[in-house]
Amino acid sequence: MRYRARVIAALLTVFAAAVAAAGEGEMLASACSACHGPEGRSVTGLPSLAGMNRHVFMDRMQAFRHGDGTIMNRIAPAYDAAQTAALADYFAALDRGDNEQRHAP
Amino acid sequence: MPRSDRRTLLRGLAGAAALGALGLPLRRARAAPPTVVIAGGGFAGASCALALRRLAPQLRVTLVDRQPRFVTGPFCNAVIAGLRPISSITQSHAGLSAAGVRIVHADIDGVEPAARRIRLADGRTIGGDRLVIAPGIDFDWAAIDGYGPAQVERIPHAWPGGAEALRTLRQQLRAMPDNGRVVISVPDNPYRCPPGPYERASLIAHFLKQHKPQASVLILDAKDHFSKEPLFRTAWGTRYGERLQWRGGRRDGARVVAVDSQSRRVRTISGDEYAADVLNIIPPQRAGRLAGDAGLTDAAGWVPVTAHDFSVAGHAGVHVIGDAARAEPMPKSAYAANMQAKLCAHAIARDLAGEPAVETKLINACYSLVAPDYGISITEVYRLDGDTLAAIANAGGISALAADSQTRAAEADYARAWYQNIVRDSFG
Ligand SMILES: Cc1cc2nc3c(=O)[nH]c(=O)nc-3n(C[C@H](O)[C@H](O)[C@H](O)COP(=O)(O)OP(=O)(O)OC[C@H]3O[C@@H](n4cnc5c(N)ncnc54)[C@H](O)[C@@H]3O)c2cc1C
Repeated sequence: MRYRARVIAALLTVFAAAVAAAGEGEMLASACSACHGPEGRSVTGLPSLAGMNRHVFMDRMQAFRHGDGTIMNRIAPAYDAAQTAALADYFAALDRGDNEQRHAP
Repeated sequence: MPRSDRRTLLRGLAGAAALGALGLPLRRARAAPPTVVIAGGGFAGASCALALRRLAPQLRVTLVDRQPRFVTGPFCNAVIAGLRPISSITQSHAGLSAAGVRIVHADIDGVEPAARRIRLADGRTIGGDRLVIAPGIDFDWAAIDGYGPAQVERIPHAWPGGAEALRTLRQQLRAMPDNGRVVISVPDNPYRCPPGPYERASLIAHFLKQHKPQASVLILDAKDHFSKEPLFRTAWGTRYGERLQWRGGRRDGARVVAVDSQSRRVRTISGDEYAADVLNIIPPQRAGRLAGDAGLTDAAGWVPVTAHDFSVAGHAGVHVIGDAARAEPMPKSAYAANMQAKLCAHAIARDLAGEPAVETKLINACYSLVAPDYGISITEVYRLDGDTLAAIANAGGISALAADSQTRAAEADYARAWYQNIVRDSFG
C-alpha cells in the first residue's frame, strides 16, 4: 500500500515536471507570437517558427546574438542557452500551418 | 451567467486541479468549470481571453466591452495620413466568439474587486473566480484649460478615439490651406504609445510634402526628450527638413496649458501662443475610469501590479493588464498589452490547475513609420525581478542609427507584417 502510494506520488511528480517544462517553453514562446504569429504561424512576410528544425532555430539565434538581423540582434542576447533550447524544442514540436493539409487524413 | 457561489468555486477548482495534475479531463459530472470575467476587450482583454481558451479549454471565459467594432491605435496614424482605409484597422470580437469566449457587448458601469464582478450599466452583474480588468486609458480633462470632451469633435485627440475622430482629423488635413500649419500637443510620460506622436507628425509631414508642399507641422512637447529621438531626428532631417519642427518642454517651455478651440490657438507654459490650421491635442492620461472608480489606482492614476501575474496586491483573484497597469519599464503599447495578457492568462491557468508560476521573459517591440518606406523600431526584453520587471541590460535598444534605405524599407514591411500577426494573436 505504502509502496503504491509512493509510486503514484513519484509518477505525479514526474508528470507535474513535464507540465511545468512544457509550460515554460510555451510561455517563453508567447513573447514571439506578436510578430511571428499565434503558435509561431505567421500569415505575413515575417518567418513562421512553427515546425522549424531545432538546429536551424538554435543556429539563427546564435547568429542574431552575433549581430545579424535588424531587430532580432537586439532580442536574442536576452536568452541563455537553456531558454533558447526550450524555445527551439517548443517550436520544433508544432505543426507548420501550411502542412496541416498534408497531415490531414 | 449566475454568480458562482463558494461551493461551485471549490468544485470548479478541484476539477481544474485534477486536470492539471493528471493531464486528463477528470471533471466530474455537474462540477462547474472555473470562470474568468474580463472587463475590456481591446488588445489586453482580447489577448487574455484568447490565451485562456488556448491554455485551458475547460475554463469559461466571458469578455465585456462596449464596442462591437474596435479601431486600433496601431496604424491609426497611417489612416490619418490617408495611407490606408479605416476598415483595415477595424477589428471585431468574432474570432474570440469562434474560440469559445462568451462576448457581451455592453457598457460597464463599474467593477467590484471584492466580489470579482462586473456591473453593467443596465444593472446586470457578471462574476467569476477571476476578474481581469483591461479598460485602457482615460484622459485627464483638467490638465489643459479649454480642452475637454465638449471640444473633441472640433479638435479630435484621435488617440485613437474611434473611426469618427480619425475621419475628422484626416478631413481637416485635406481641407487645410496649402500654406497652413498643423500643431500637435504632446504630453509628459507616461502615456499610451510613447513614439506615437512623432510617428503621427512624420506621416502628416509625408502627406503635406505630397499634397501641400508649403504647409508645415509643429510639435509642442511637454518633454525634453522622446522615444527613438535620434532616429526620428535623422529621418526628419533627410525627409522633411523645415517642414517638421519640434519644441521641447523645459528648453522651449512648449508644454501646452490652454486651448482656444474657436480660433485654434494654443498657449504654452512660457506664455507663447501658436495659431494652427489643424490642431491635434493629445491630453495627459490615466488608467481607464473603471480602475480608478474601483479604488485600484495610485496617486498618478495608474494601477500598480505584481509583475509575475499582473495581480493587484490586496485584491485576491483580481488582475489589471494593458495600458491601465503600471508596469514600468514596459511602455504602454499594444505589444506590451498582448504580452502582459498572455503572462496573466498563463498565471491564471496554472494557478487554477494548482501549478506553480514559471520563470519567463517578456518582450516589447514597437515599430514606427517615418514614411511608408521608412520604418524604425525600439525593443526591450524584460525579466521578472521579484514583484517588478527589469529590462535586460545586454539586449534591447533602437534600430541602427546608420542604416541603408533597404533596411529602413524592410523595417516598414516588418511593421505592417507585425500588425497582421498581432491582430490574429489578440483577436483570433
Ligand atoms: C496613435 C497611436 C499609435 C499606436 N501605435 C502602436 C504601435 O505601433 N504598436 C503598439 O504596440 N501599440 C501602439 N499603440 C498603443 C495601443 O493602441 C495601446 O497600447 C493598446 O490599445 C492598449 O491596449 P488596452 O487593451 O490596454 O486598451 P484598449 O485597446 O484601449 O482597450 C480597452 C477596451 O476597454 C473597453 N472599455 C473601457 N471602459 C469600458 C466600459 N466602461 N464599458 C465597456 N467597455 C469599456 C474599451 O471599449 C476598449 O475596447 C498606438 C496608440 C495610438 C493612440
